[in-house]
Amino acid sequence: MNIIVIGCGRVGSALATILSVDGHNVSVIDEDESAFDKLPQSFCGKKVIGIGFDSQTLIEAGIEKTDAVAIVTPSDNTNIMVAETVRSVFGVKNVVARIYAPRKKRTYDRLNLRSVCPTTLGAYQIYAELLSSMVESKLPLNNGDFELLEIPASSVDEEETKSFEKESGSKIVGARTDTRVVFPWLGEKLDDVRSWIILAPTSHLRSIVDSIVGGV
Amino acid sequence: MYMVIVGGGKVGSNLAKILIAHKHQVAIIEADEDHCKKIVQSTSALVIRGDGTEIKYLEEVNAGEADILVAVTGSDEDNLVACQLAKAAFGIKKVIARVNNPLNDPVFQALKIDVIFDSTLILAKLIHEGLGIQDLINLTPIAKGKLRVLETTICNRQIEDKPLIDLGLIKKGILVVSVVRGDEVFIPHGATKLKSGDQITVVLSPEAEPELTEILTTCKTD
Repeated sequence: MNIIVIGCGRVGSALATILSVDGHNVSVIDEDESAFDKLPQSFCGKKVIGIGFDSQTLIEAGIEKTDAVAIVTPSDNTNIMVAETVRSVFGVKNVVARIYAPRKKRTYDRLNLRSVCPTTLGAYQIYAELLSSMVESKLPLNNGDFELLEIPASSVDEEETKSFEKESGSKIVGARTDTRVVFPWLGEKLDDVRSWIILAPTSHLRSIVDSIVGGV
Repeated sequence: MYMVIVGGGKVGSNLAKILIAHKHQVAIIEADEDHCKKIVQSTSALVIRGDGTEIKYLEEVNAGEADILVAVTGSDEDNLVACQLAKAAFGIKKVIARVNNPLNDPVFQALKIDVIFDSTLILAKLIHEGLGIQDLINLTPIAKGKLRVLETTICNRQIEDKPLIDLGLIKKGILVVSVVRGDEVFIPHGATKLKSGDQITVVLSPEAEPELTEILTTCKTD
């Protein structure tokens, strides 16, 4: 894919690097040339100095042939302005912006802008880890509504998985053995399970911890 | 009419005063507490302290009922987002934005903001007019840029009685090559007397531009 990343801060540079390594054709835009220092030497994408809502800058970055745009400048409202420009002026449909302030989420939603809020995600992830040293947060989903967690197999016996799911309001989606992850719903054998991978609504985090350690 | 103003600085607060004097209902959303206090003291506008780019605060001023939203903060991004939200989330029919950086004008136009006030450009134009200098329109460089062809309008009444030759333009490297006066077009000679309002085409060396401005296009009365 041809992808433009606007904003070359910590997230932008990391994202551009991942995309480039994965074989995408990447252009990065930042108004500060020194921001590109965060990209690895091996980065082979295009670097464009300029402002994200300036049409000339966007054209130079290849907006007319791009498949997707990621907008990750430090200002939420700048991100919206860039997103609106990219969508309205250049007709790009696949646009994702980062939000810092969780309360801005509604603004993005009402403007039909796809957004990711690392602040909320990080908070939920840290919360899950804090609740118990036995819980390992793997991935918050749907802006923090759900979370993939990993809990030690010793905390839930194989025979008790059904009652655990019912009690905690979560779903066991995988089991980690010494060598790999197996999926019980594919009928795979559950030998030597070390930990369970569960999908849980974040609103049920407490009841999950209560189920496995009998309260915090 | 009910109008919501986003941004209660000098522009926003003075606009509120004018609108209220004309019997309009006004609400202002302003982030800075001190600004809010001043507006409360000096106007009867509804003042909400908050961020006008957030739905929560637009709801607090009942933006859905507004006829017009005017965004006049010092940040173009904020003004744009406030206007976009006003249309998309509250269905406000008319949105007006102040643009601080002329480079952003095209974005505001592309996003169909109804009225755009480019405060920087307006101010620059007013100052320019105040200086009383007519525009010099560059037509073309000739002789590799050593000479230029310009078009401008005479604005100095003090030269009206003098023949062209007495203005000493040639010596300064300025040659008037054509005159448009109303429907009449002619090539001037030494005895031609220029008049205020004449559109002239001039060939000159770039260094002579200030002289041209001083002698012909700076507005002076008799």
